[in-house]
Formats: sequence, structure tokens, C-alpha cells
Amino acid sequence: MLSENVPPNTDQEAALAEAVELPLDRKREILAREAALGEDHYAVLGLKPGATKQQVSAAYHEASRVFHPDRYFGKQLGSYQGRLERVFRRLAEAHATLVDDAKRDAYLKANPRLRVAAAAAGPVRPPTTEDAAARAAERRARLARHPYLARGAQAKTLVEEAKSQLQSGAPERALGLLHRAQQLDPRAKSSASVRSQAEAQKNAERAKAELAHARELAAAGDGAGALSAYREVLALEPSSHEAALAAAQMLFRTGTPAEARTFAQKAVDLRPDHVGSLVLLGTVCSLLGMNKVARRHLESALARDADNAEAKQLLKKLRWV
Amino acid sequence: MADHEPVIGIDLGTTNSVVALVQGGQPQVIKNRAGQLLTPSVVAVTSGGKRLVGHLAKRQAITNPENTVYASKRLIGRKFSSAQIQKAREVLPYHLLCGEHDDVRVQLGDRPVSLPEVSAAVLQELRKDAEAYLGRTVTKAVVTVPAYFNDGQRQATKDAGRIAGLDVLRIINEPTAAALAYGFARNVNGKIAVFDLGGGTLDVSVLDVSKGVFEVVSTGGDTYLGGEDFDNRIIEWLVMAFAKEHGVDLRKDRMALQRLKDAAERAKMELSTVQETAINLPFLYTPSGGTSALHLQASLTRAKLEELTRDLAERSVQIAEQVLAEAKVRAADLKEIVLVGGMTRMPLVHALVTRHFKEPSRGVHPEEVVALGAAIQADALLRPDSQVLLLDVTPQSLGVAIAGGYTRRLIGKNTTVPTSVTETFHTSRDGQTTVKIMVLQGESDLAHQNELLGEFILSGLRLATRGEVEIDVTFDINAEGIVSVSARDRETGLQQSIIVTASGGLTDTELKNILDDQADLLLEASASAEVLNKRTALESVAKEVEAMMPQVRQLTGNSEFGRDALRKAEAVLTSSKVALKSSDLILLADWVDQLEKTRTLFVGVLERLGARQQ
Repeated sequence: MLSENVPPNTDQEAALAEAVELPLDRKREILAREAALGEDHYAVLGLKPGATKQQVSAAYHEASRVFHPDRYFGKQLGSYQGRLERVFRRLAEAHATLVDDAKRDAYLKANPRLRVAAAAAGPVRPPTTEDAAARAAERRARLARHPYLARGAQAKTLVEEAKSQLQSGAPERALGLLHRAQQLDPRAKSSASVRSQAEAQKNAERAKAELAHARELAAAGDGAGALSAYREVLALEPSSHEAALAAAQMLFRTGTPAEARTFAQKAVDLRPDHVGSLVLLGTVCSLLGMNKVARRHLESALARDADNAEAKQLLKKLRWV
Repeated sequence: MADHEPVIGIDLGTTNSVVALVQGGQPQVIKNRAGQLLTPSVVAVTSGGKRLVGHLAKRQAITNPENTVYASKRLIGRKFSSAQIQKAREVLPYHLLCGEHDDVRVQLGDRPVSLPEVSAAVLQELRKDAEAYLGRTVTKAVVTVPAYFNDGQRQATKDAGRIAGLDVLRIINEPTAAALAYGFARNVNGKIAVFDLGGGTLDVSVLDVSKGVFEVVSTGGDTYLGGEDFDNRIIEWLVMAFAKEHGVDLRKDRMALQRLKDAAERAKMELSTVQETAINLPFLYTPSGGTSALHLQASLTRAKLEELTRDLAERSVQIAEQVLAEAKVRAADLKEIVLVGGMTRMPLVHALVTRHFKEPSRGVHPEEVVALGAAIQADALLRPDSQVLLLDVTPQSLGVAIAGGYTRRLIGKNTTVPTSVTETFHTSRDGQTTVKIMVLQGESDLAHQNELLGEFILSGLRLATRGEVEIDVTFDINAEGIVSVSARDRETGLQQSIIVTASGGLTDTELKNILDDQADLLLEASASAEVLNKRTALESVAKEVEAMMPQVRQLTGNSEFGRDALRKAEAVLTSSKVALKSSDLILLADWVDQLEKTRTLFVGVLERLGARQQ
């Protein structure tokens, strides 16, 4: 039975009369939905603009129960097969658009009427992360302009400058800048690591200069001066093998083997495979009467350089002791 | 309506297969005729030419590696020239051959067999199990496949069903089926993630469930990550240790490799429940030159196994995270996470899933849940009052090839089906009067890296400069998952369309030939099976009657009745023995009847006379 207030529609009547395995009510429902496929995404799902995602999903699932073609699997459906698929596709399209933030926003932008309705009906949207980020950046800029905090900002720029000076190889100047930064903002911690870097660089430079000075003195025959210069180098740059070995040689020559041994040991520690250092340490040890230790060092020197005459001779001598 | 034809759900797995059925509203797994829930997906042909399926085939795999096909699911629906097949050729003990149209064949016994036929053998076995359980014929099924299977692989699986005499109503994705089974049993409402780490692949799916409606939100995974990769790590470790000790590379010896494979799998499974296990393979390798055989003895701890495979387990969890991100679902939104596939029994996998997402739901049998889901979908399709509805998605994107060798995607993956999309294209050359529409499936932007599903030509376009002629291309996927594509010239209304039927490797005629061949075979086979049944029945009744004769003779003594009965019985027995040699079913049935009568008579005599004597 068609309801009286709908004008008779011959297409619809023909469809209702079609002999298919569907109850009459269901046929009507399907035809009504099919006639309304042109409605907006909300209306298609039977919702008002501004409905939440949960409401959209629930409405979609509920409608699928009736209009998904699988509900009529294996049935004789005639033209209703196509009708059902059209209805379900439309439902799926509406759902897919409305549950995806980006797609929904684009859809609402294209349909201003719905956007107004959605805004009126919808709950207040929580601020997006984008808004929050912009606000936080503004807050930071405002704080940085405050006079009290301005000192901290200034100190920071000084530290930055110190860093660049350090990179261009001027540790003295960097240390000066860091000192000023420290005075402006005594709590600034970030400068500590820069400071230690600057100091290390400064020491390395001084050690280099001192080493050159020591070589000059040694060449000029000033043994005592050279020795103290080498000691200075080692204090600044404890990893200088050259300084350690030179100091040991000098002390050995001046006849103070006990002290010479300390430096020779240091030279060997720094470069365990340096034959010269090993031979010197061995020689010094044998002078001090530590034969066993001497033999070990000489043997390890020979292991690296089998033809070392000095080591061979000394070792031969030690065997007979 | 209660008595509609039963429809079974089948989980056709890489290593094992399971069949299930909904009965009285409850899904349940059907045990095979050997009484087990899992049927190994193994097919073999013995040296005598006998075909074996399931446990029988698996049991003889070690001694007959060249004619035992396992893991055929990894090959089905693929092209012979594909990289995967070429790689598989190097490691599989059985031989792969190239079919007539770049499809894959397996040398089994004395003839090459197509992969749908191999899978069909397994399906047929499961079908017979279901028939034995139900006592009636079964011709309809829902079969599951991995979510990543493309149309070719799905079609090949359908072909396998047809060869096995099954009308495959629907192919559904394994993780979807798992979620169906889980959500059905627990009445879950909300989002469910399914983490399916099986023998060969990882599938992850997210579903949104409300009151029986199961909406697939997203699905993804990795085709090359599964239990066998874990096994291979153990094998490598054993092979390395053996090589260090004896200087022998066991991988060169196919038989040794097969034994290693079995041992590795067993050790891995044992370590899911114990902390340490021993691997003993005596006489594993016999060196040439007559020296004595070498044995392999090793001990594997759970910690060592986890060390060997940690990166694999972690990768699986990372992939799951990607799928969740694609679905825009946070781990906190998940109501349940369901573990499927034997590999998820590994404590490390369990722990990683718990750490990255949440405590997995318990109480689901990871090996059965997929078949149960298939049975539920089968039931939902056929029962009009069912509350269950599955809103499934396309597993892979569909598009057309466009100028420059690129792909234009029309339907994205994870789109709910049925669906249709129309897009307008233009001609790319001046004076172009024909366009070729090439339908592609896959996620690559480059056309040649995707699967070509079909192509057609729209001709008779008007002469115009490039870009002037507009062509509407429409893609349509119906509820059955069938894709049709049409192209229409906007101006003239000229139209061309195809229904895309992916090739599962067999052409229609080939499939028909196999079915025809099989039809003869099937008829013959079922007849002979019945003959065998009757023969054994006849034999057993004959033996019973013979055994009773002396007693009857003694009891009836010299009575007229006794002599007469005995003489008749002897005649029947002699004739029966002759009948035993024939294959005539009716004749056999006749003599069984006669003997049965004699037996009833004798039993009656013995009861009455025997009782009187006492």
C-alpha cells in the first residue's frame, strides 16, 4: 500500500511490484533511501550537522544492517541488487568522509551551509595542537623581552659568540667572553662545557709553543732549561710522547736513572710499541738493577725490531748476570 | 530453513589447515578423520604413485622430499618469473616448473601439477573430514586468505575450491576472520586489533565492532615475516656450529636440511613453554669416503632463541604500530588485542605486544580462531536472521596506468566494499583516437611495479588536440569483490568495459579440463571406495559366521533343522568368497545381506540352545 499523500509514481510502483525475495516494507525502505541519495552526508545517515564521530559510526553500522547487500546473500533481488549497492556505497562514502578529520573539514569548507549548522550544533572543539604551539611560541617571546630575563638572554648570546670564537681557534678570546657571560648570569650552566673546551684548547696551544721552545733549548745545549721546558709540556699536555721520551733521555744522560725511569715508563705507556722508548726503559731498569724487568722490556723491543743492536747487546749481557 | 545445506569455513594455512562449522548457533572446529584439529597443508606422491595429504604426507616428507609439497601457499597465484618464485626455487626441496603462461607448476611424481590443484587436494581432504563428521555432502565454503593476497592469489584460491568440488561463497581475510570469531564469542563493542603472526606472514588488522557489525578499519602487514624466518635463524645457528665442528655445510644436503627444519620448528615450539631444549639429530650427515656418520647434538635455551630472533619480533611489532597509525587509532583506544597464529605463542612476541600496546586477550586458540571466523561469516551469509554483518575492505589499491608509466589510484586500499569511483581523464597525444585502459593493483606509483589485472581499449575517439577529449573511467567493486571497470567518452557516450577476472594461473579451459578429468576420477574413486567398504563388511561377517559354525553344529546335533541350516550357510559362504573377488557393488551388497541373515539365525540358535544346555 502506498501512503495517500505521496503522488503516485509509476517507476516506484513498478519497482514495488517487481517479483523479488524481499518483503514489501523492505522494498519501500530501499526505494525511499535511494530517492534521497542526493542529500548531504549527514542527512544520508539520518543525522543532523555537527553529529560526533561516534554518532556517525553508530548510524552507519545501524543502516548497514539493513542495506548491505550481504544481508540478502543468495536471494533473488532483481533490480534491488543494484539499488542496495548504490545505497550502501552512498552510506559508506558519507561515513568515510565524516569520520576522517581532514576529509570532513574539506567537505564542510565546500558546503558553508553545513559548516554553519555544524558549528551551531557541535560542541566546542578543543584547541588543536597547532593553536597551542603558536600560543606557546608567543609566550616565550614575551618572556624573553622582560628586563630580568633579558640578562639571561644576553649571557646566552655571549656564550654563543664564545663558541664561534672557539671554532675559529681563538680560545683566549672565548674565555674572555665566557667570563663576561658568567658575570651577567651566574647560574648559566650551559657555559661550563664550552669553558672546559676553551681551556683544553688553550692548554694545547701553550703546550705546542713550549715544546718548540724546549727543542730550541736542547739544540742550543741548555740541558737544564730544556728539561724544565719538557716538564712544563707534560704538565699541559700529559699525552705528549715526545716530551716524555726527551725528558727521560736527558735525565738518563745526566745520571739520574731513578727519575729517568719514571719518564721512560710514561713514554712506554703512551706508545707501547715504540722501540726507542722500550730500549731506553730497559737500559734504565738494568742500571737500577731490575734485571728481570729490564729483560722483559728489551725482549718486547726485539719482538718489534729484531735487528736492534743495542737491545741485543744489552740482553746478551743481562743473560750472563 | 533450519535444514539449509551446511556451509563450512576453511582456514587454508601455509603450514596447517583447519575446517569449522556453525552448528546450533555456535562455531566449532571439525576434527579430521585422524582425530586432530589441524591438518598439515602438505601434499605428496609416493614412489608407488599414491597421493597423500595431511599428516600422512607430512610424516613421509623426510624420506621423500622431492615429491612432498609444503608451504604451497607461498607460491600460489604468483608468476613463475617473479623474484619470489625464483628465490623459492633455490630453497625448496621439490621442483618448480614454468607453466604455459608464466604460472608455476610443481613436479609431483611423474607429472607437473598446478598450484591450485595442490591446494585443492588439501581442501578436498578437509571437505571429506566435514562430510564424515556431518554424514552428508558439503559443497559450499568460505575460505580465508592472508590480507595481503592480491586478486590473482585470491582467484587461484577460488580455483582450488572449484577443483575440490567446493563453491567458494566468499574469500575473507584471515585477521578479519579472527576478529569475527573473537568478537562473536565475547560480544565485544569497540575497536579490536588482530595481530596475526603465522608461518609465513604477518597480518595486522583493526576492526570497529558494534552489536554484531564488524567494520574493518585498516589492514596491513608484511609478506615476508613469519615463523619460518624464526626457524631459519635456528637452522643457521645449528649449521654454523656444525660447520665449525666438522667443517661440513649441511645446507647442501637436502635430507639433512629437511631434518634440521623439523628439529628447529620443534625446538622453537618447545621453548614457548620450557626454558631449555635439546636438539638431537643422530646420523645427520654421512661424509663421502666411508668415515662414520656425524651426529648433531645441541642444546638451545629460550634466552638464546630470543637473542637469535629479537630483531624479527621487534620488526613485527613496529609494523603493527604502523598499521595502527594508518588507521589513526591509538593503542589506548583499543578495547582488545587478539593474537593469532602459532608464532604468537612465543613469550617474547607476547611480551613485546604487551609492552607496545596492551595485554593481549586470552582464551582464544590462535590456530583455530581463523577457521571459526570463516564459519561464522558463512553462517551469516546464509542465515537471514543473523546478527553478524561484516563490512570488509579492499586489501590493495586499484588504479589505471597513465602516461609516463605512472599509476593513478582510483580506489585506495582499506576502502569499504561495495564501492565505486569515477574519475575523468584526458587524451595525452594530439590526434589520439584510442586509449588503452590498464587496470592495476598495488601500492606503487610506478605502473610496472603493480599487478596488471586486465586491460582494454576504448577506440573511436574524435580527432582533437591533446587534452581535449575527456574520458570518464569508473571502477566498481561489488559485494562479492568482483571488480569491473568501464571507460566512457564524455562527448560521444562511447563506452567500453570489462569485468576484471584476475588470473589465478589457470586459464578457463585449463580449469575446465582439470574439472573434467577430475569428474571421471572422482566418480571412479568414490565407487571403488564403496566397493572396498562392502568387501570388508562381507569379509568380517563371513568370518563371524564361520567361527560360529562348529558351535552351531555341536548344539543342533543331528536335527533336521540343524543340518539344513548348516548346509545353506556353507553354500552362502562359498558364494560370498567368490563374490569377494568381484567389484560389482550390487552383488557384494546382496551377499552381505544373505550372510547377515545367516548370522542372525545362528546367533538366535546359539542363544536359545546354549541357554537350555546350561
